[in-house]
Amino acid sequence: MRPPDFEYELAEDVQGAVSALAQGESVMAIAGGQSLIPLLRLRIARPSRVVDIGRVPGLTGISVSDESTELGALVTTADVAASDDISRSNPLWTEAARVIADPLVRNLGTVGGNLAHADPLNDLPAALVASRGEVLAEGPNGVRTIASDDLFVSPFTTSLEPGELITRLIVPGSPSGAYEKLKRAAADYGVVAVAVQLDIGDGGDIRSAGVSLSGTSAVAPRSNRAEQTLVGTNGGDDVIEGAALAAAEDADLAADERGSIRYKRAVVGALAARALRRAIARGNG
Amino acid sequence: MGAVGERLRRKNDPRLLVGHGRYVDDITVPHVVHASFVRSPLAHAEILGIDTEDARRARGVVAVFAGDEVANAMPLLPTAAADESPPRRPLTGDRVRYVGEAVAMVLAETAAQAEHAAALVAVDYEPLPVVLGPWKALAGDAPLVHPERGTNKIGEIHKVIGDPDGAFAAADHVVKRRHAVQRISASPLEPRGTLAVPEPATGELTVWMACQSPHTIRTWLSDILSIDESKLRVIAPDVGGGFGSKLNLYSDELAVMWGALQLGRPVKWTETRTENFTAAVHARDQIHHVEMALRADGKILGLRSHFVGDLGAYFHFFTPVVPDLTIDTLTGNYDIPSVDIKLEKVFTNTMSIEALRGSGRAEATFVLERMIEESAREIGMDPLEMRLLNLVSPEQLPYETPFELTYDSGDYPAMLSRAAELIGYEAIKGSQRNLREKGIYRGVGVATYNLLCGFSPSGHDWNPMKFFPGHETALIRVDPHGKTVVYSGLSPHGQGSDTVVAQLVADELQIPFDDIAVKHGDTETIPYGGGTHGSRGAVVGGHAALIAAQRVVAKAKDVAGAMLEASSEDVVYEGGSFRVAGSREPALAWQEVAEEAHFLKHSGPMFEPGLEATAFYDPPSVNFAFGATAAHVEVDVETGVVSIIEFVSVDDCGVALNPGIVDGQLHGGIAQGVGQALYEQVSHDEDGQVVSASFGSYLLPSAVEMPKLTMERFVTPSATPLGVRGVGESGTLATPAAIVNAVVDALEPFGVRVEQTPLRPNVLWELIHPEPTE
Ligand SMILES: Cc1cc2nc3c(=O)[nH]c(=O)nc-3n(C[C@H](O)[C@H](O)[C@H](O)COP(=O)(O)OP(=O)(O)OC[C@H]3O[C@@H](n4cnc5c(N)ncnc54)[C@H](O)[C@@H]3O)c2cc1C
Repeated sequence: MRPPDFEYELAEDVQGAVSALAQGESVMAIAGGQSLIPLLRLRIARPSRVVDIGRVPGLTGISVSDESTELGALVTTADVAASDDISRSNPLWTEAARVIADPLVRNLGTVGGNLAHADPLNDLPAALVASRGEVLAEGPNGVRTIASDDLFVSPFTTSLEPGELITRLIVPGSPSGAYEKLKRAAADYGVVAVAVQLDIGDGGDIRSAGVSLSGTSAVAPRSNRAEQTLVGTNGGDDVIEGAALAAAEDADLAADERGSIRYKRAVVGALAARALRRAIARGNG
Repeated sequence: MGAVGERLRRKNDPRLLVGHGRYVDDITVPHVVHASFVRSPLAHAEILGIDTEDARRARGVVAVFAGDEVANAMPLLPTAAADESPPRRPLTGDRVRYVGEAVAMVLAETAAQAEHAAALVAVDYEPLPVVLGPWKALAGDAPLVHPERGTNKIGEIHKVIGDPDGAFAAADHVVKRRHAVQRISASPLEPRGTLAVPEPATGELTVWMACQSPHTIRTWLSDILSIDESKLRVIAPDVGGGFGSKLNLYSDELAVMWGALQLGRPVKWTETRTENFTAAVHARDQIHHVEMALRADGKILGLRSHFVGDLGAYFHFFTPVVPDLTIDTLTGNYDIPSVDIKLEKVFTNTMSIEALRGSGRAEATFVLERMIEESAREIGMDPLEMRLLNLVSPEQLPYETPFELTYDSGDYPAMLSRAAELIGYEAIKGSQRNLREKGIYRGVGVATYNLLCGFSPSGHDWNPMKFFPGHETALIRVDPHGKTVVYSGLSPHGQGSDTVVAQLVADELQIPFDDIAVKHGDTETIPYGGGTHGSRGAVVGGHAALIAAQRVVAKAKDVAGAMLEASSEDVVYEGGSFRVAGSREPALAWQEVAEEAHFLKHSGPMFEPGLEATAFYDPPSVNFAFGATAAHVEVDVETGVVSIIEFVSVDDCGVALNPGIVDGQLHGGIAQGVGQALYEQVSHDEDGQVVSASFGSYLLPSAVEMPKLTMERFVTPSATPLGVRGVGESGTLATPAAIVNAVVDALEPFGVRVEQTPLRPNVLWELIHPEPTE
């Protein structure tokens, strides 16, 4: 279907976008449009005005160090997937970006939009939570930092205030990361996915752990029990099995055309074990 | 030398690849209004009232058509088996019988305005109980789709051939299984579209339509709109795939034409993807209960199937004969002497079932090849060996099947053995045990097919339509420069038949391939043709072109004879030049003859001017193509994901006029088979909503899901002049069974029983890990 009529505004800078968005709930930002346009066409979203932030200067750019990966909100998921620097210092993000939809969607979809949309089936929210990243948000009252655990409130709802935009992502880097996703077909959303990021000491000891999921009822829930199972160990087979089981048991799942709860729980367990094995191997490699 | 047999590039591809195609939606005419349809959101309901006030007042709206009175003023749609079919009009005014049925049509100055206004039409529905599922539809207390018929059952066919009761009594083993072949959607790249342009001053109507058979549409339109065919022109411009779904005249298309005539203005409609999932025909949807009678050594003695075909709510062009084709092809390539097949067809509150690439035959092949696999496993025999034991052997050819089809030639066992060899059947079997110990589950499966195609002669048994030719036609017209246009009655929409026709005409006329243009899809310029469907392009359309070309050459010899002052019987045409047999006189070039044929400068009035000929060709019988496939798969038993490691297809389409096009047709068919096995499914919820009405839910295999393909060809020329066999549908037939058989093989330790497809990961996982029963 065609969307109902709406006004279109091309924002020139962050301030302009913020003040346009602060005018009310019926004004919406559009970045890559890969989630918003389908909603407009299905007439689920009915904004009176759409503010295009796609050409706002200063929201692009990838900068990578061993400690962290910084991404402008308009960096596309294709850019993340293709970056050698990210793949070296933050393989979790490379793997997560590479399994998002198909190249057409990845070429247009942005990292900021992927998080702000807060779709429980999106992949980057779980990556953000597992890596304990944070976002910079700019709004009518200035700039603030939102930690990953505070960003996602419920499906399709974030803690962003009206008028607030995500401008930047700051993600701690670690070579010990991995993303495992089960898709029914290449261009499909996932059934479930597991994001893992570990900090492994020289002796092979896991100093901290991040485990989060996509495809559950909540947006990117943190698997606390799985993380606790891992921390302080050397990540042997028993630990991996135990952590994977905890992640599976604690996942809040719903049955739908992608599978039963029983099925999804089993897949969370299988994928968690695979992601952990790969992350640990990378950390020790 | 010669174009036939060469891997020539398709003539149309450069144009289409750079985006210069002209599909219906690309065609603009002045003063056009745009149509949008209000469709039923319910599978079964009575319409209590329709309020169109707000829609009529909306911006840009020109007209709104809705309601019983309007609907009844509209013509009836053509359908198969007209006396059995419930009547159907372009709009329904009193009752809806499937989700997506058109209730109102809004015409407005722009497509967006039409769509906005359509959303303002308020329809008051009284929901009625919904009938879904064929066996439920047959139950005595089932709600009725067409109450005036008194039953949902459309008919029953029971064919008992040979001595099935004796075979089952004498059998050492009887294997029983259920096999369901799920409903699928054609999913063409281009959804449907219609542009109807009336000329009120003369009563003429021109229709651009994404269709596969423009002449058939013209004849039907003449009948139902009462317009002389001389005043009707139907044009199929570039068409982005049809697979059978564009063979019909649909309710919305006819509504657009009718609306154009009412308004005296052009009306255009382009289907949305969402509409295509509900308002374009579906396919397959059969459930079989099968029994196979076997001798201890694995010889198949008899086959029983009691099956039901869910045909949806109405008949389209071929709806009721699709499952009939399943009966008649249910023994495939195997020598099964005794059969007992009972088919019940039913109406349900769903979109109609129709022809779709491989229709009827794909279902048969799947059921048979799954059944043989299951039988072999149950009696502890190697499935490949059981097939080789039961395949019709070359010595048995020509072989008459229980259904009186005569297979002419070929070597089915050799093809199957070759497919098994190419996939590495023995090696895969040999390594299974070791791999399983490492948690790796791999399997190999095979399946064979025999494609009944090129449906002919025109009056054949599977043709339920009053107007639907089995013949094909070609007009070949040579211009004074010797360049040539073939006007073909085929209506290719992705198959490349235009290229193939040019190749064989080039060789017959002994002129370069590039000197030939092929035109099609316009009733004003093309002689009466049948269009493109049923793998008929080469076997029917190719022969029409061949005969026309032979007539042109004969005519050219008359002209050359006049120029050479010899009788045309003494003229030989060789290497592109005409000379008198045995003479050393300078020869005449093709171009000189073509020029003389038009201007008669050098020869008196010894021949009728011009250089062209038309041929209509109605083949004496159907055609068969056959082959064998093999799949090597790995199943991730933790997630249920199936990966196809390699797929082998060994095919015999007789003489391959263009091997590249043959490969392409097979690739596409295999892709559809992969979809049937693992991905595609039209699914309804218990209210009859089509929950798969987007590509987010209706999974289509893409390039990523396509396996590594190994293709090999056997060439057994058919008894036709060109030696060709069909190929367009071949890939769809055996592919699904080969894949499922391989999955079953991989999962042997789990003893899974597969009764339905697609084997999506969750479905397969549930089979591998059944819920523990207390
Ligand atoms: C067929 C298909 C399959 C897909 N599959 C996947 C998948 O497997 N995994 C996955 O992760 N994603 C998937 N997506 C979604 C895709 O990744 C989107 O690109 C992403 O969800 C949104 O990014 P966007 O830039 O396109 O945002 P838009 O669609 O432009 O916006 C989405 C929402 O975010 C808001 N927004 C955008 N940018 C900002 C910002 N900087 N600050 C605040 N709010 C903002 C918008 O107002 C809007 O509400 C799929 C999309 C499609 C069409």
